[in-house]
Amino acid sequence: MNKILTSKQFTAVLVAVTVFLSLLSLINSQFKSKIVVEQNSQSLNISLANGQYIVLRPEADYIIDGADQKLFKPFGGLNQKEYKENGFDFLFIRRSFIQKITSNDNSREVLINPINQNSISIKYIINTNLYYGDTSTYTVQLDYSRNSEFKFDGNKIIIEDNDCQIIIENTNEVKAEKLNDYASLIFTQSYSDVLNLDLKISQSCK
Amino acid sequence: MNIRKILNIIQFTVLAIFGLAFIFGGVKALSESYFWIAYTILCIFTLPSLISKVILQDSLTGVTTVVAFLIYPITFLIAFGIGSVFNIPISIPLTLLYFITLAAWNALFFLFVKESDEKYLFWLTDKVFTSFTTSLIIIIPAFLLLRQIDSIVATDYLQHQAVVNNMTMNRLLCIVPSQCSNLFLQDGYTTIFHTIWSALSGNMFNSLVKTYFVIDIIWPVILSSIVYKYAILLFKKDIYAVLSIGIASLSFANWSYEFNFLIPQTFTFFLFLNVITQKRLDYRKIVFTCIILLLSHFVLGAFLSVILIIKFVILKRIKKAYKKMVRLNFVILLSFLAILLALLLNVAGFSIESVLQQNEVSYIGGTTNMPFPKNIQLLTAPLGFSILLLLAGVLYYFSNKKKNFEVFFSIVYICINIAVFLLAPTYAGKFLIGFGIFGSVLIVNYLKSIEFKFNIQLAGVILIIISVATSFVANYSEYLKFYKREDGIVSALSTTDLGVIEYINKNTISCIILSDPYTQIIVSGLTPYQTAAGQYMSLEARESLMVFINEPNLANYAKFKDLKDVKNKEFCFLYTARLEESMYENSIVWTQNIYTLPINNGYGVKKNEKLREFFKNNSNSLLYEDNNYLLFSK
Repeated sequence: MNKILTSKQFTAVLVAVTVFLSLLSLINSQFKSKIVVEQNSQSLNISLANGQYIVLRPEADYIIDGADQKLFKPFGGLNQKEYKENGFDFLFIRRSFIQKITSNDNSREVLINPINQNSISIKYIINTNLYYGDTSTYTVQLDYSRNSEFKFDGNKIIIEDNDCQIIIENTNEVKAEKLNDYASLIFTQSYSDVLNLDLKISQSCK
Repeated sequence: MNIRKILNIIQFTVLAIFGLAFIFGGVKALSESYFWIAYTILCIFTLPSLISKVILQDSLTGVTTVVAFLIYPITFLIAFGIGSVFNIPISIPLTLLYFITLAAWNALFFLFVKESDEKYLFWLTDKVFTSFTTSLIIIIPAFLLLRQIDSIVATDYLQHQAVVNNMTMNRLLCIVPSQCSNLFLQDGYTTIFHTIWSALSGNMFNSLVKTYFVIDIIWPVILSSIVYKYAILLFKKDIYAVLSIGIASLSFANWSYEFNFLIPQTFTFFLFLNVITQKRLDYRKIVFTCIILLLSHFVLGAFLSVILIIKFVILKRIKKAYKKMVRLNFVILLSFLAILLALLLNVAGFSIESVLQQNEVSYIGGTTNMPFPKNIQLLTAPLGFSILLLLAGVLYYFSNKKKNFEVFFSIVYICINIAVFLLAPTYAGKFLIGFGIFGSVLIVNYLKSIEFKFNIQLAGVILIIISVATSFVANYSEYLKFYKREDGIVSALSTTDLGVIEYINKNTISCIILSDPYTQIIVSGLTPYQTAAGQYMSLEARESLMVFINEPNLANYAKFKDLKDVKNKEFCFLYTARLEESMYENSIVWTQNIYTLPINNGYGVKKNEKLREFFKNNSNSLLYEDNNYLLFSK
């Protein structure tokens, strides 16, 4: 008698757990971040809800020497890379992404933290050990997958594309420009050994 | 009123309604009617069962039914003969012959009802009704939630239609599809499937787009009826058969699609299921079935033939030799060992695809399988968390003293599924075909053993179906993303494509169509004209296309003449919004991977003046123009 009861209870619990986990997974999928981050070779690809994506490429970073205007790419060659995804996606909890690129004594760390379903924060920490003067500049580049109109509004860059509005917010007010004829944004600041760049990308779609 | 009279009344009422619709509304009233289309599909798939039962005095499902499916290639051959003698397109005699088969269906159905025992007829009607309504209750909400009316979400339908178009309109007798269409990367099957497809699509007046949509609803209903029969034989009660249908029809395995689309591999599986659900099979029947399975699909047919032989030759013999089912546990343990070995190889980085199928990989432009551990995620996707119940089903089998051979076979089948999937030949997901059906056998066998009261059982069945449905919604939505356009349409075809299709259909053009791969497959499927390899257009050709539209000059134009499918042939150039968007927005991923296609088509074709100039200067005329298409021809 006891044994039968145990089988029944076990089955009831198993079915209940299965149904609970299935429903939870369905609900969870509704909370899933609509911005997908993936590493592809050295780049970080940020896929957006409008089918387009933003690429962060360490090899595109460059320094312009203030003295002779020569361009140098500190991460232009083959670099050592480390990539980690921390945490997991569950309801309001979301994974964060860390990429560290090292080239000789120079390192470039990108931390991506999802804020909610439709926005992420990107933090660059760039450590370089190079001899450049105060007039030199360091530029970080972001490539959007399609050549679109970029509107500059204060520290915000707005892209309206495919029924979606993408806002790239430059929280520490670094100078931003669009590269002519390309779908690329560049952020330029005075050179120093330690550089930070904080961005926030949000999307809202119709 | 007895069941015989009820069935007769239903049969003649349906015929009268279609007759009246035809008299008052003409052909269009039928071709646009979802009911007519559903009726013709059901007739086509159940005629072999009626032939088996009424003429050959065998069962409704089984080897005889499978052999009776040859009626369609035979019908096609007769039409081809008539077409050749009278020098007319095959489509004319074919339409006539298909209407004769519809008449034959009705005659056989009438005879079946007349001659069957009243009790049997009542039982059968009850079972067919239960299985059909169950699957419709499950499928229709899923369709309402996920699909748009008349959407096409399998470009395969257009690909197979291109073969049928060529066979019927150009009177070609092709043994394999590549003889009739250049849309096939390699020959994976004979054209047996296409002779059935030709009956479904077009030759009974059916509107193509509506037929494709209705097939996606009716196909799971047809397959469910066999699952239902199998479950009733095993578990006796309707409630367990309903649960089997629920689990099986809602398990969605990417690339296998057995309940989702009617394509050669799922048709082959349907034939296999007809036979595997039988209790006994002699060698002669096994050989017949294997031949038909192989002709229906060379790879999956061979795979399923091996399983057929394993079941009816090897396992039956082992069972006979060991007498008691409990002694057969070693077979299951060996199957587990096979999975473990395949898993270890997979974890170590081995896959058949990367080691033995390098040519396919380089042609496709990448591998088709996920690496470990993402492939394990894919393996658990069809059943979602209900896989816990499957594991419980396997454990229950070992703990229970009473062992059923069919349940034992289900475990072996699933182990073969998983082991081949982990060895990862190209499109390994295909080998998960039947995972949901045989998984449902294990789950139901376990739940059946727990003797709950009926009300609790019913609640459990509903809850489990809801649980599998949640993973179905997630998996199917993910699949549909491929067909999602920027304008919100989720279909291979949108209204923006119809103008050019109509133009090509109404006008005679003597050239093959060169365009982007996605447009080509639409043109191939919906017009009688050939294109330059369609969705399998080589990466080199895609590259040449982009080079030409960027720099339209004679040197780049001449490169087309070296392409395999265009060589020595006149071609018309169909410039599309897809190409213009690729060019101006630099979205060229589709030139780097054969399975990536430019789907959106709303960008317009106004910018590329250089291209217009080039064709104008080289005496090409602009045959057709709309917002998204320009058709140039010499």
